[in-house]
Amino acid sequence: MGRIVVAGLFAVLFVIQAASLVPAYERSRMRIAEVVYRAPDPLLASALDAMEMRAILERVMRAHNVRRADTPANISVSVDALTVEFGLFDGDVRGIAADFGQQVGAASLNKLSSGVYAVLCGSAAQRLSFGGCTCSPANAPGGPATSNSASLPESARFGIARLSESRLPWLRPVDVLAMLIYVAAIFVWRRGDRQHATGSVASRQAGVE
Amino acid sequence: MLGGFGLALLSVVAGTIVAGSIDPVAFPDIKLVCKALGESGPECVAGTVKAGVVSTAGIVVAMLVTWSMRRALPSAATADAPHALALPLATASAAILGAAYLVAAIVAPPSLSRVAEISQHAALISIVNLGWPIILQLAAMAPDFRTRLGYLASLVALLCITPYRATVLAAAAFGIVFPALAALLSTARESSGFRMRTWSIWRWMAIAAGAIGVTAVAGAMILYQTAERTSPIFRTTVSAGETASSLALKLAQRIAYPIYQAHFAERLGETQALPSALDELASKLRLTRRENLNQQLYRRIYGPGTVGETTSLYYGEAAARTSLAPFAWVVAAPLLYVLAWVLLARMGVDVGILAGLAIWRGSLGGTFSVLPAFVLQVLIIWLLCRLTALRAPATASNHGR
Repeated sequence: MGRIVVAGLFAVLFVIQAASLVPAYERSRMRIAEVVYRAPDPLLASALDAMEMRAILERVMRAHNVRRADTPANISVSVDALTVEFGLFDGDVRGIAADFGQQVGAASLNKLSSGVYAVLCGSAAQRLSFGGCTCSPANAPGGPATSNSASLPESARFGIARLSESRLPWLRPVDVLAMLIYVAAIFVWRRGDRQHATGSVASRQAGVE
Repeated sequence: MLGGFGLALLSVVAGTIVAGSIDPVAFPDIKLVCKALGESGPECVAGTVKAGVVSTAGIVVAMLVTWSMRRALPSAATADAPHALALPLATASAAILGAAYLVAAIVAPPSLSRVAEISQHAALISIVNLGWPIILQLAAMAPDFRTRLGYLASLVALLCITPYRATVLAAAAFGIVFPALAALLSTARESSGFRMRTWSIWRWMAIAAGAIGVTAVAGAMILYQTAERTSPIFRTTVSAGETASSLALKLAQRIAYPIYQAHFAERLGETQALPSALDELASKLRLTRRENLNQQLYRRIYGPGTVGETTSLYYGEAAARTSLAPFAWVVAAPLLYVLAWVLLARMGVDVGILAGLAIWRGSLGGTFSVLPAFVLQVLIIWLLCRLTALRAPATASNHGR
């Protein structure tokens, strides 16, 4: 009986694990949103060159299955013969923002100084509600150029880390491993129950003899 | 026990070698430490290498002391845990914690930041961190494969809750790899040379393949995640398309950073009052909301409002908190756990896994950050073993009838 209870508990673990994958998937989508909201920090952009920015944003777009045709406002920026379109990135921001009931202005890409970009909030002095990211007038599109800071602030470091993390698979290897072990445990404990019963009968018979 | 020492030694040796061979300016986090201390690159590296060398020497001496008293050490588990009670208890606890985490993930507003998410589930994660070593210890005491598999199922349920990858690494090392190594040594010792029978060779190969497989999977998972976690190091490499180099840089920072943090603790402790050991214990037992040493060091590096903990090693802990030479503390601190292990074994309670884990975790975060959890875990194992001892006479008398 105890073995059945234990096997049942493993089954409960399996169900819990399977159910937890749903919020994990949702969370992975939200992390992309966070990346977008944190990315507007111009200091983040100062830590990246154009190639890096493009590579990272394209990763985000791919991860979010963004199609370029959906863009509400295509934005093209050309620097050093490198043209990058971020229109759908912008659309994605709006879509995710709506999910959270947040209002944000149009995101745009602004060239701050040679070879350095920043994704900025459309309206000046707008404070986003995520991560305390602030778009000051100085950093707004068309505003005065910001010098490329040599030191790397925590906000930038953190922003990039979150950005890359959104690429991590929401189904972790440890989840798969756990579910396999639960199945094995259920099987072994159920089978063990039968063996135990058979063994007990054999022991009793041996004892009688 | 040996595994705990081995991991501790490996981390400080690797950290010292890497720390001495890099330019801090190329590593954003390390650069922040040197900048916070106001030290130039070479000055920062020199102080860090000193911390690494002292830590390495201290752990080697502690290992030698442990080796010299090997005759007094327990050779095997001396008492059984009541698995009929402990296993359902462990599985039910894992199910309850898993369900609580699931409910929290669904009901609570989702956190967009990983750090905020960890803070949100901090209580749950703390309970998991307290519980999984107990299950690992019970698994090591399991009398058969079925029982061990049962504990393993409970263990992975907890590993899925915790966001820390080091937990998965530790569980794989202490739960699978080290026992496999012990089995390999045992098999080789039992049937050495030409007398090794065919079944022994197959058994040896199967155990080796299993240990290598687990290590490879866990290592690959962590390497993949590390590669995917972009950091400002990316800046120096991605434009040249050197993803592999980027991974190498990230790993280098990861390996060397604890030694730099130990150096940071030492320098800061010279001029400022840092949280005491009592503060640390009170903080770990949730008796105070004040910062502990590693939290304060983290905030000093990254600035106000940041949340996290450094790994200041036994060395940093000693330098920041005591008037002892750090070397003395690096030797003495792990020996406290060895002593606890020996004393408890003489009382019939095997806590080898718990002590090994404490030595390794302490070698990163410091003794006092691990001690409260170790005491609670040992108490629980002791209680379970006492239950067995209490039940044994009753069983014997039943047989007598």
